[in-house]
Amino acid sequence: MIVTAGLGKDYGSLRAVDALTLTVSEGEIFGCLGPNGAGKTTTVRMLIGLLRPSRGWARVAGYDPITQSREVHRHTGVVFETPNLYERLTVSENLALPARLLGVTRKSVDEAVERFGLSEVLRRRACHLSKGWRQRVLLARAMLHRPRVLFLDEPTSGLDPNSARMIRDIIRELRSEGATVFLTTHDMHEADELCDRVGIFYRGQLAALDAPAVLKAAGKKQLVVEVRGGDGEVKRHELPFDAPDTADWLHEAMKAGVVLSVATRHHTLAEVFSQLTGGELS
Amino acid sequence: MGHDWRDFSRNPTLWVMVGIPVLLSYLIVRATAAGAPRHLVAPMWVLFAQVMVGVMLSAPDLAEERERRTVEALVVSTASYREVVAAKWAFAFLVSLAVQALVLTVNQAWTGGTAALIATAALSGAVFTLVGLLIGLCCGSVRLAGAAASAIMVALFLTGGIFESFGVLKPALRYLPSVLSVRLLGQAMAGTGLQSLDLLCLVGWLAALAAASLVRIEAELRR
Ligand SMILES: Nc1ncnc2c1ncn2[C@@H]1O[C@H](COP(=O)(O)OP(=O)(O)O)[C@@H](O)[C@H]1O
Ligand SMILES: [Mg+2]
Repeated sequence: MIVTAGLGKDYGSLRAVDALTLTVSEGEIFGCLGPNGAGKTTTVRMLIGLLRPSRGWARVAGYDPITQSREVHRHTGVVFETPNLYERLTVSENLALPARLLGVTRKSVDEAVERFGLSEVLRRRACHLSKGWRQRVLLARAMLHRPRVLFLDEPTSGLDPNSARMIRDIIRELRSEGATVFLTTHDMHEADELCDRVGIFYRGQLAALDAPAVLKAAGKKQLVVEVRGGDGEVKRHELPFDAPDTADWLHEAMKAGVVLSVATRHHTLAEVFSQLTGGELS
Repeated sequence: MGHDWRDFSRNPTLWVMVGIPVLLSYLIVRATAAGAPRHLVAPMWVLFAQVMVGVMLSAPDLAEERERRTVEALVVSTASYREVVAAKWAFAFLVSLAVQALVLTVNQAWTGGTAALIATAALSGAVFTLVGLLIGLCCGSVRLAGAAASAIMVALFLTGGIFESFGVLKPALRYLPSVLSVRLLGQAMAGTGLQSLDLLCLVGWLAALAAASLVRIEAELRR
């Protein structure tokens, strides 16, 4: 559904995106993960035909975002990083304008309103909406024409937990309907929870690309040991699984008879992420 | 364009902008030149309406769309950037015509040839809305666009309004669109027929500004 080959963008001497080669299949939720400035938004903007790539090419729903941008737009919905509603227009007017441009029927608009629970704010002006409502309206606007591909650029960033959960629920629902979602985020838990595959972006390059479970499994394992201390208190130690020192330490602890339990655990996606990006968490 | 109207109708600063030329021209003309021939006093106030609406309306409006990236929402809804900009220009142009008509009416300045007057109002209105559009296309923020538009508006109004007092600078300022507009309006109101040199120069401005806007739009699309 989304294919790129050697896709890249320079801003002057800055390589915002180096050479991205990627395939996202139909019905997949793809997480584009990375710290601020990694090139996520630049990638999205190239895929929706708002930025011309400096090199490489892309296809979205089978179309070229540059030469066939209208076709691409007919099949894609976008929630931008900046909440770009017309502030002085009401929610209803904010939906009506793109609906008219897209040739969407009144009925489809009503369905979107229903689905995102917007009836109570329809007459409210966008400037009076909270961030959570705003994001809902933006999602509804992106979904008016029931696109096959959705680009969501940090849809939950800066939202309160409830609103963020609601947005995540909607994304999950979209998956069950077979939509392809290109989700940009710097929230590891969100990516872990929602995405079939994640690409970890770092300084314009794809540092890793796989299912969250695979990425976590590929990361180093941790040994989790519980020991009883001298004062009777239970202490939890986490040690790198494959380091020689760990074995020595464990041997001593066993001899002392203080070990209560030994377990292993995989890294969280956040830990994998910070290993790949040199600890640069956002 | 319907949404342009709704957006506009809820923006109080824009109403002020439309109201000022009408009200101010009425008050000042009544107070200072009630009996003077219309073709001598009215043109500068029509110019005021042209620059106020043309420059001050479309420049911040377009800059706001670009700054807040609302225009991108339209583009991904299959509108083309060119069409969006063209619709904005057309909207400002229509408002400009309406306000010019109001200024002419309240000052009883529909004298001379109506056709020549309408043609001049349309041509100058088109030129000054293009000036505003170009400012909006070049400025990255509403603030900057507002400042640039105000400066240019004042410069245009002064050069056109008190052209006679510029002394040695007159030959250089003679071909500014504001001066051309005032001259043509005066000719239309006096019923003497429009001078082809003035007309030609203003059409030249129209072409040049339109070309510059297109170049800006293409540059933006090629980012
Ligand atoms: N219009 C622009 N001009 C110059 N540099 C830009 C522009 N947009 C983004 N950048 C730079 O490109 C890099 C990637 O930005 P971006 O794609 O927005 O990152 P992300 O969305 O991952 O935070 C950053 O270093 C940013 O400063
Ligand atoms: Mg971003």
